[in-house]
This record gives sequence, C-alpha cells and structure tokens, in this order.
Amino acid sequence: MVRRVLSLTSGRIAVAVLAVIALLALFGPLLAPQDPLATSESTLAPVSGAHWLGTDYLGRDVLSRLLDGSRVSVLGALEVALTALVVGAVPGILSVCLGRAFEWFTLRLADTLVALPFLLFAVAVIALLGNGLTQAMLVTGVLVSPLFYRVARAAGLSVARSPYVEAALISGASIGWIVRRHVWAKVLPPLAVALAQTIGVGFVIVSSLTFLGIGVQPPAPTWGGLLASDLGYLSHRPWAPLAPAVLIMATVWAANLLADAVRDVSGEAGRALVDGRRARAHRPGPAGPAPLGGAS
Amino acid sequence: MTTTQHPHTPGGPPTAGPVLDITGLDVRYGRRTALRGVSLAVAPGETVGVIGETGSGKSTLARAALGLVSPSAGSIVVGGHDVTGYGRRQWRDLRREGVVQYVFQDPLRSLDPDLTIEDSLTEPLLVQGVPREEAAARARAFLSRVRLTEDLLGRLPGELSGGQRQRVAVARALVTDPRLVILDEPVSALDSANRVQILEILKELRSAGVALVFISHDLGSVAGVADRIAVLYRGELVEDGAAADVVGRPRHPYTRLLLRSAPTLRSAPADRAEREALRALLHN
Amino acid sequence: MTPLPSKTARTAPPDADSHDADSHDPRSPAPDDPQAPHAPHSPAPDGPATTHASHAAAGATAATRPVLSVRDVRIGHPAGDREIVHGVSFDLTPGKALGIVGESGSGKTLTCRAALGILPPPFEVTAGTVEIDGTPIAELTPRQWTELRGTTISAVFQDPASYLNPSLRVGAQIAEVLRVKKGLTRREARARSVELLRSVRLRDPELVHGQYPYELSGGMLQRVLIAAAIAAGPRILIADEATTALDVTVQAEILDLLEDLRERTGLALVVVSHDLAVVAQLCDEVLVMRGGEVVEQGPTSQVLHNPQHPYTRLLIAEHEQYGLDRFLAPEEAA
Repeated sequence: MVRRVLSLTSGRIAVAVLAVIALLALFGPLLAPQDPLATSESTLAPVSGAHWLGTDYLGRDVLSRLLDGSRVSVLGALEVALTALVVGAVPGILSVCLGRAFEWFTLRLADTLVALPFLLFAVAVIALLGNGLTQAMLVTGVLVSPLFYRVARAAGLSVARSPYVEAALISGASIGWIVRRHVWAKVLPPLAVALAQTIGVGFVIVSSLTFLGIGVQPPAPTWGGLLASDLGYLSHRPWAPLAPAVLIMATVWAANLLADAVRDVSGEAGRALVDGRRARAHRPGPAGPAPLGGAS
Repeated sequence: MTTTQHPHTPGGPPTAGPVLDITGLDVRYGRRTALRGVSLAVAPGETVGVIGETGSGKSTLARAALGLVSPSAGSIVVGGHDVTGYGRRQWRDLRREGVVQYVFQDPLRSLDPDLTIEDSLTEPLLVQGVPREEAAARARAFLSRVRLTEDLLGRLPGELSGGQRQRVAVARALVTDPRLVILDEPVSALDSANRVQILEILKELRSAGVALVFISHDLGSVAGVADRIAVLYRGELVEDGAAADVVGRPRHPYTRLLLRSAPTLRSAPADRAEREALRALLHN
Repeated sequence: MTPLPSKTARTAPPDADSHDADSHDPRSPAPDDPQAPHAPHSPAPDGPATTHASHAAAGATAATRPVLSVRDVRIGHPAGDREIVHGVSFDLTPGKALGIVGESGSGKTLTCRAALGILPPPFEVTAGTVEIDGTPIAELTPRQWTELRGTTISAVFQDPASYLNPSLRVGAQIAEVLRVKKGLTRREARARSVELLRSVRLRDPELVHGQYPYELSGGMLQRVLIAAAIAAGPRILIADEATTALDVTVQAEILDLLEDLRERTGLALVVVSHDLAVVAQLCDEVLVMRGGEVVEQGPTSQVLHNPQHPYTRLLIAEHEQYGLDRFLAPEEAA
C-alpha cells in the first residue's frame, strides 16, 4: 500500500509535505531561535534579521511561536484522528461480526454522535472535564468517530456477504482467520482514506478550538491561537496571519492529497492504475524515468 | 485440528451410511417457509442433481447441509455426524475435516480478488493446519486435475477468465479430499466450451468416488452427469429417483414442465402446447 | 408515425397498428415449414464462411423482401486496425427468425448493436452495409434513427431490470413509449399498455400495470420489456441473450411468447444466445460466431444435422453428451 501510494506523484508530494510538518512537530520547539514566550519592546515589528517573521503585539518572536506551537497542533490533529479510528473502526468491524443487538446499539450511538452540535459539545465537555488539549482532542475524536464506524462497517459488510468469506467459513476458518485474511485487506484502504482525511479535519478542529481559546491556554502558542491573535492586529500588520494560515492550509491540503492518493491506489482499479503507470514508465527502456516509488 | 491426512480415500466410507442424510427438513426465514419436510440422502460416490427454480429452496438446502442456515425442524447427518444441533464451534471442527466442500455459482465472487490463486487454493488446507509448503504442493497437484497450469498460481482472480476461475473454485473444493462436494449452479455462468470442461471434470470426480450434489435450475444441464435427480418445487421435494426414470417417466407436472422447458436441439411444436397445459395446471 | 424516406416503395401499409394482437399482418409470408431444406436459395454476396447461402428470396414478392439485410458487416476500431467482427451477412424476412450463437466476445452482440445503430464507442462499422426495410442505415440522420427505433426495429436485452426506471410504475413506462411513438392520449395509452401487457401473457395485466419494477420477477420484467419493445409495432425484434439470466421454465415461457408473437404479427426475430439449443428451438436460420468470424451459417436443421465447423460440433456435442438430448435421442429415433 505504502509503495503504491509513493508511486503516484501526488502521493509523494503529500508524504513529503507531511514529513516536513512531522519534523517540525518533533524538533520545532528545539529549533525555535528565541523563547516563544519572551516579550520584548519591539511590538508588532516587521520582518527583520532578528525576527524573521516579525513580532506580535507583545513583542514575541512569531517564528519561534510558530515552531513551538507546531508540536501541540500536530499532536492534537493526530490525537483526534487516532481516537476516531480506534473508537470508530473497531465497533464498525465488530458490528458486522457480532450479533444484532450490538449492531443496533452501535448504529444508534453513531447516529446520536452525528446529531450532536460538535463545537458546542466540545465546549460543554471542556467545561465539565477542565480545559486541557488532550481532553478536547479526545472529545473531538469521539465526535468524528462515526465516520470511521460507517466506513469500517460498510467495507466489512460488503466483504462479510461475499461468497469467498462463506467459502472460507465452509473450509472451517475461524472469525479471526477471516478478518485477518479477507476482511482486513478490504477495510484498510477506505480506513486509510478516512484517516488521512481526518488528520486534515483534526487540524482544522485543533486550530478552531485553539482559535477560540479552548484546549490551550493563552501564553502557550498554537497555530490556531497565533491566527487568532494576529487577526486582532490586522490593521497594523495585514500580512501577519499569513504564516500560520499557510501552514495550516498546507498541512490540511497535504493530508487530503494523501487521502486521495490512498483512495486512487486501493482496490482492483488502483492496482490497475499503478501497474499501468509503471508499464508506461518502463516502456522507453532502461533510460526511461523509473518511478521513484516503485523502487522504494 | 492437527491431523492432516484422513484415513479414508475419497469415497471410501469410514461408515457404511450415506455421506449426507437429510430427513424431514424445515427451514424458515422469518415467516416465510423456504423448505418443508425435505428428505434427501446421498450415498458415497453418488451424484445427485437437485433441480428447482429461483425461490424453490434449492440453495437453502445446500446451505443447511453446510451449516450456514439452521433448520427449524428435521435432522441432518453429514459424513456420519448428526449435525442437527451443532453450534458454531462444532461446525468449525467438522468443516476442518474437509468432508464436505462447496462450489459457488459465481466464480468471480467466490475467490477473494486480493488473494493469488495459490493463496485461495491452499486456504482450506492452511485452515486445517497443514504446513504452508505441503499445502502449496498439494494445491499444485490438483491444478492438472482441473486442467490448469502452474503459471496461474501467482495470478489474481481478476486476471483469469470465467471458466478458469470456476475451475480454480472446483480445485479449491477438492484439495481437502472431500467425500461430498455440493455445487450450486456451477456451470450456469459459463459458455459452452467451459461448461463442457467443468462437466468433464465432474464426471472424473464421480469415477474417483466423490459424491456430488449438483444444484441447478436446468434439468438439462444435470441430466448428463447425475445418477439421481431430485426436484424441488416451492420448498418441497416433488420428485426423487434415478435420472433415467425422472427424465423418462416424470410423475410431477412440474418435472414434466422442466423437461419440456429445457432447451434441446430437438424442437417439437407439440412441446409448446404441452408446456401451456402444464403451466395452466401448475398455476391452479 | 410517418413513413420513412424509403427509396423503394412498399406495398404493405406502413401503419404499425396492424400489429394488434388479433390482426393478421399482411406482410407476413405464407407460413412455410421452417425445417424445409428446399427454401429458395439465392447466390447472395455472402461473407467468406457462408457456404450455405442464406434464404434471401430474390425476385419474390415485396412481402418476402428482407426487412433487415446485413451485408458483410465488419466492426472495429476506426483508429487502430483492430477488427472485431470480420464480415457478417444475413437477410431476415418478416415472420422469420434468425439465431446468432456464440460465446461472450464472439461479436454477436456487437453485430446486433450495429443493426440497431447503438455501437458503443469507439467501435464503428468499418465496412459493409445494413439495410433496415430497404434503407441503408449509414444514410440515416439521428432524427430518422429515433423515428426508426421502436417503430421498425426494436430490442430486448439480458438483465431487464436495468432497462426500466425503478421509480416509475411499469405501465407508465410502456405508456410513455406509446405516447411518444404513436401520439396516443394518456387514456388511450393506458388502455393500450394494459392490452400489451396482456398480449405478453402476464397473468394480471391490470395489476402489473400499476406495479414498480422491484415488485416483479425477472421473467415478468422481461415480459414487460418485450411489451414495451413491441408497443410501437416494430417489424424486427432483436432478443440479445434475453433469456440468459432466467430460470429454464421462465426461459421457455419467454421463448414461447416470442414464437407466438412471430406467428401472430409476422414479427421478424433475431435471437442471440450462447446456447445453440435456445436458438434451435426458435429459429429458421442459424449463424455460429466465434472470435468475430461467422464459422457456420445455414438453415437450422442443416446446422444441427450436418455441422461443418468443429466449434458447431462442440456446441452440439455438449447437448448430446451432457444434456437432455442424451435421453431424448433414442426416443426421437423410435
């Protein structure tokens, strides 16, 4: 699957962008040239040698704040996506295998979650559980999980009703064997698409929540928080929101690009698409442009 | 389940009784009755054709014999085991002995599109606990029996023709040396050349002593291979006898209609009038 | 209905209404014995494999003039040199039935689609001519085609459910054909469509008229489609694997219905199937196709009793060895 995604140009671009973002998240706080919380005299300073992206209304270095905030933002998005995956996909697959009662219960639960107004609910839970990023992300993850539930269930259903699963059953295969050998390969691609999509969505959500001041408290920087504080000084520095906005956009875009690439290469059609490209790429002979991903 | 080889050769009965013995079987889906009081026995090495139209319950009969639907009344004995009250686990253990196998109508969907032919063929053996190497070797041995070559092993079902896929499905049903193979419309989706090939393979199986239950809507496609023919009509067994008798002296009007409806190379204008009369009779 | 701009005059009245269930079609020829091997032969310019000349009755009266005439039709990709169908020729006179037998990919469906003018792109007729009722189809404008389909040539296919709108009652869908093609009023169209449903021998036409496609079985749907296909009184009906997906008893009912329509209305039939026996039951002449080639062509009895090509012999052997014919053969000999 990874190899096939990488054989697409769009897949390579998406992975490259996401890799850079991941590196930022890992090492960003270390790379920050200045203390992201240190205020200075030069408030709202323009771009200069000392402050590559200028300073904010308290004179804090914007670049440092962006780099420092990246970890929280990216981790938040991942938390959302992974929570949603676990909370959604597992009952989704099980709803196909376990009896009617479980199916009915999880279906109603998923419907209920979808019906909840999402930001409002997040705010309410924060009010109950206390304001922390992890709480906010877990709540968000649960709220997004019906997507995974439905995707996993739909894929599981189409496999469970297929004759080859029955054939395996007739040969004496256990449920575990059938899930491992037949169901897994069919459920994985749509889940991967949903995951990549949710990372993008999660990013927007983390940014929106932090923009609203939920999850992370003001002095600590996040991309959404930066965007919010910059917007207040739009008249003084109209270009200021650009840097956090571009970062958010690039990440969401790359995540969606990855989702598209995963979808393109999954299943029969995807295999044909990739094989076709490979065949075309190889036709000019050894001198032809061999796809990078094919060799990896 | 660790034993891999069975003491019996295919067809050589460990017990003297029939490989499949169904008595007074009722199956209900909700309020609808799919089968009513059906009794059918298949002796070792015997080929039985089960004929019926869509909704006659012929597939339900097969699924009941395989434990995929549970009967509401009656008893089923498979290979000497009374499976009537079997639970999931008991069924699994019985299936792992590989006594009964099943071939589906649609060869495209009965093979996992993401697994190579070799993976599909070895699955029943791997499930039994046969080591991979041995399973692969045994699967390979069966390819020639269904007139396929080894270079297909690495391919995916999508790269095979319909006829080849159906032969793979037959080979998969054979790898466990079953005593009974149930085939649900195995040739309906195939054209003449492939149909003949599958029927030839079934004939060879029959001479090898494997019992076959051949399910079809078309009496014509079964008549040439079956020893016995059973006719299901609206959930009931209306005819059960030697193939020549059923074809030569059909008792039930539905069997007569089936006979007159089966496309044959010999067309007689009289058939049409007879069909009309039989239809009128059956609908009243 | 307006008569086609046909260059040749027709003696028969060009109205389609004469196809009513109880009327005799003046165009239908005298019923000759379909098995008769002495049908008038003509040295028609046939395809390469047609050793047995077709029964085009040259010089006969206008009534037996072919209503569908296919001359050495070749179908392929216009761009590439790939030819899929390598020359098919046949003539079909009113009240006759022609069978085309072949496996999937043999070109039988493409040939039919060419006659209907609905070849799927990128395929095109690269050579040869098709004449419907004397009009070469190559000269037809899209408007004329629309005029022709339904009123002169019509078709039913496999998988009837996909040819009906699932959200409309079947009666309304037949009535639509009548209103568009024959300009009937709503009330007339309703009455006529019930009548048509009765003529395809649906048991309760009034009930079926108000039902949705999902409420009907495959055999009933195929009848509905046949009713829609003959609604505008066509002279040619192409049945392309129309009974393949059906139970054998239902298949026989549909085939009987087609035979009945042919006898009653003088409809000319093209029956396409992968099963030689299906075709043999109904048709006067058989074409056996394989790989885009016509490997055998001739009167049905001749093809059945004296097959020339190994493939035809295989088709026959299948039935003789594995089919009912094994049991029936001695009975017939007696």
